Amino acid sequence: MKRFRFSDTAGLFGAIILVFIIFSCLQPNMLTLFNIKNIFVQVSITAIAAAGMTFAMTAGVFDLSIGSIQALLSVVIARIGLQFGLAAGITAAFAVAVFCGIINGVIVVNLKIQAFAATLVTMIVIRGIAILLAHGKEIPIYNMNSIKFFSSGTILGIPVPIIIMILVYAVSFIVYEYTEFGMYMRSVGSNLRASTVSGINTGKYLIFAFVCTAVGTVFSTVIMTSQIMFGKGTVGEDFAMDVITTVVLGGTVLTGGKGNLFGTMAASLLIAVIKNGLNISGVNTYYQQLVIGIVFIAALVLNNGKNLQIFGEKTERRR
Amino acid sequence: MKLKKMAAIMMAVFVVGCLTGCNSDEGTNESKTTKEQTTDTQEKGTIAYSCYDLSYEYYITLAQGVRETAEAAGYKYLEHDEQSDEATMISGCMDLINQGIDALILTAYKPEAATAIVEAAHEKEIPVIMVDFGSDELDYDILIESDNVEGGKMAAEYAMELLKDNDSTEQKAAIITNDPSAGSYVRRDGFYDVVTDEGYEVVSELNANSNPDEAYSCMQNILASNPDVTLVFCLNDSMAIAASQAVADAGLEPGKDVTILGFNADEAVFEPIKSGEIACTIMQKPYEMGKMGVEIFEKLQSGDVIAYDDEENRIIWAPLEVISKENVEKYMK
Amino acid sequence: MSEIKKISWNKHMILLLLLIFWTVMVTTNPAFRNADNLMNILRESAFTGITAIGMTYCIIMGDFDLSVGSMLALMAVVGVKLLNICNMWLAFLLILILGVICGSLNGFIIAYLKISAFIVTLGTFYIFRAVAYIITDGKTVVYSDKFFMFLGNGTIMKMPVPFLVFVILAVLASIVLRHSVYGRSVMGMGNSVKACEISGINTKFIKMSVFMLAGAFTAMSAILSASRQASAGPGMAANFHFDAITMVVLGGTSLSGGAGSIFNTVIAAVFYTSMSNCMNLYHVDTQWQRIFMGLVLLCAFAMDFIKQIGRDVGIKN
Repeated sequence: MKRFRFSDTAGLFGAIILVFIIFSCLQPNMLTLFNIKNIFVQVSITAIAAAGMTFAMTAGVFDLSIGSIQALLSVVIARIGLQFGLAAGITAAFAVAVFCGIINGVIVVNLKIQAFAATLVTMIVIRGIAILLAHGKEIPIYNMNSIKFFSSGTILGIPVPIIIMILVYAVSFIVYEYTEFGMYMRSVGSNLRASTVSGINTGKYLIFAFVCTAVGTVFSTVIMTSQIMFGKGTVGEDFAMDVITTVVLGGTVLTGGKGNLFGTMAASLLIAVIKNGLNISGVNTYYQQLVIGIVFIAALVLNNGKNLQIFGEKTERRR
Repeated sequence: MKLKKMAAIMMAVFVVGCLTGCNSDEGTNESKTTKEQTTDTQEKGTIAYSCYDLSYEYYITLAQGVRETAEAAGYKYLEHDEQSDEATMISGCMDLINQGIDALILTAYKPEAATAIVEAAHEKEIPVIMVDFGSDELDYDILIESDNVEGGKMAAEYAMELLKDNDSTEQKAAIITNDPSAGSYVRRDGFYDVVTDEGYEVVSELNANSNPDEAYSCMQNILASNPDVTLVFCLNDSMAIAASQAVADAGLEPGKDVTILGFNADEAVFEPIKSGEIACTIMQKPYEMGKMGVEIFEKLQSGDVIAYDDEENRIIWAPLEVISKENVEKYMK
Repeated sequence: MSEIKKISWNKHMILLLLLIFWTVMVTTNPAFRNADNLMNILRESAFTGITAIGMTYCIIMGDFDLSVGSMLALMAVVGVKLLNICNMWLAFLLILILGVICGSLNGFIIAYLKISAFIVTLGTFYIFRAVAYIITDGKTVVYSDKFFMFLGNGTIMKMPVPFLVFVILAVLASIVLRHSVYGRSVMGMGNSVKACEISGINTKFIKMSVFMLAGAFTAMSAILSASRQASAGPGMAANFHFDAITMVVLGGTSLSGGAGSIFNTVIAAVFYTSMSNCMNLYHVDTQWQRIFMGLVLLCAFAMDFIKQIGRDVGIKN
């Protein structure tokens, strides 16, 4: 029985256009090139991390700690970048991110703690480390002008963040569909036991899943840090929620095995348009959070609810 | 057996963690060994300071003011970070009060929630000196604060002076705020009154929760919905710097096309002020406020007469200063 | 036979830890053994501990409720607003009802729509918090009536009122858990939902009801917390869910469900609060405190895994 999936990607794109039209009627300023460019640039921050998270959720795990990783990375980029230059800063950020991903992965695989529980803990611990590393303060990188390339630079007229986003998604898609790695991720996500039995080193791939989310976060952090020109240990408090909402809305199934990269991309655009529209209309940020939360629950229910008909025939899905 | 081992490891980790935690920080906290008693032998007593959130530079400086003055006067100094959480504020202050301190200097995250603290402190005859934020409902001994509303006014007046000669500017202003329940929120009131009196229209007011990343997107959105905005007041410096970045990234010139005002005089804002990207900030002298806290306590102890600025509410105003291009060099290191 | 032994190890573990800890602290730190300080620990443990009782039921059943902190903030602000306009006891009743409603929202989606509790409560975590901010427009609401403040700050016969409430609720909850059909069903569901379904238990309703319980307990925590502060702000209890879960897991209740003890949760609540108090007394930097508490929770999760091995060895699934 084919269920209507709200997140059929075409449906998402349709929703985007619809929402955009509604807001544009209310606020003509939304239609400007300036604003549309803004939307895409803001989207890139969540979308890139969401690509990484799509891989993780395909493999059946979540990562709640990406907000804290973002904070830690922004501090690392600021401190190392100021001392040793931008390239060193970004390299260090990658190294730290991979390390965090491995730690998350090891806790889940070797200590056999559920992903949620494990990342709930690392979320708190990593943020503590981020704030300590920043000595509690903000680290201004006012003099590090080279980093501005990542937020306001353009290549052939297209803002760099958008180009990075397109590249990341292109690479992700290729890896997901056409490589062994992608296949193993899907396999591990859809049936862990079967994968182990058939000889796949599931532990390794689960750890990779967390490294994916962490690496996705590096790109996001570089763009964000270059926007605000600060390293700060308290950024990214809502980041994990935004990213997870995006992936869920995009149709990636919670139980794993089926990731939908295009869906994630479309979903992040939809959320960005909603947020942008609300902001421009002067709506309180609290209402934005409420809207995103409701969208999240709605997406959950529509995509993942096993019993959509409570009174009729049940369409049970086996775990 | 394995469980017992785990427990033993946990205890060991805990003890090591405590010792590391005590000794690892940069000197903002007192470090003590676990064996030391808390009785005062040669010291005059203990002054405790509970602070709103020590991840803000402003408060770090305030705490420094309290600490250095207290230690110079021979007191022992205890510190507590409320981490922007009222429950932490209450539990931490209660812990301090129970340790037999002689004075509680308090920068309350939520002054309205501090009633229990003040009562408990007074029960033990510990004076409560509030610094930076107070509340009418509280029975504090003394309140030292800077007039945030006045600060907003001062910033606005400086901006008006700056833009006065520029007839071609549109009279559109915007405000980027923080949490409405924060004491610093009222800065926007001062700004608002002055600019609207001068004929400006406040076209947008967005809440960025004191976060620079949110302030960046707020500024982008303000520019998108009101491309002719010329004046932006941010309730703190990190938001102001992020806003100026957003203006620059939009292809405009911060300082020329859009005048940006900050508040708090964080070290990071001096560069942008010098280069003209940010017009001014308001310096609150947190160090002095911290110092005053300790000095007032000593006056209380010795029974001196205290000169209040607001007799009825027992408030002493702390000075404010506009920092702009003209005088910023003086403060740069 | 070996299973019974494992359970009594659990019971002794956290109690043992608490006794060791208190003995060490009382002998080495006079500030700790100060009567006011000890009373304070008991008082503080109650605010989160009461919610932890509800959370114990959730975890025994094999689920989590991440939204308790946001629920608390929402109920506290609504509650204080109500207190300002109507009779105190009526307000309390309304807050309790609100708690049950919030819990049933969680429970309905989790039980009837069969979506993992983690992720649903992650969503409601944000929704409830957003609603709290919207209702108050970000501002703190105040109510400083003397009797109301007494609830959170007062003592009866030298014992802090919140702690007495905590103990009474714990005893009641424990009796229900161990000796009623309902309680046994909850425990059964933690072991195997299928088995319960086969034996005719309405598992969906019980699942939903446990979340409603969690909401009710959180409501009581909310009342006491608001009383403690004589106010409520929409941003309060930001890390509350973390503390509540830690208390339950530290108490030895296994994450996979099927076994647990309210008594242990109470002991764990006191232990956790004592650790936090101790770190304050030694002026441990707050970030280190946070990191350390995170590691403690990690250890608790990991210990759970070790117990799992023991259990799997004993019982074939």
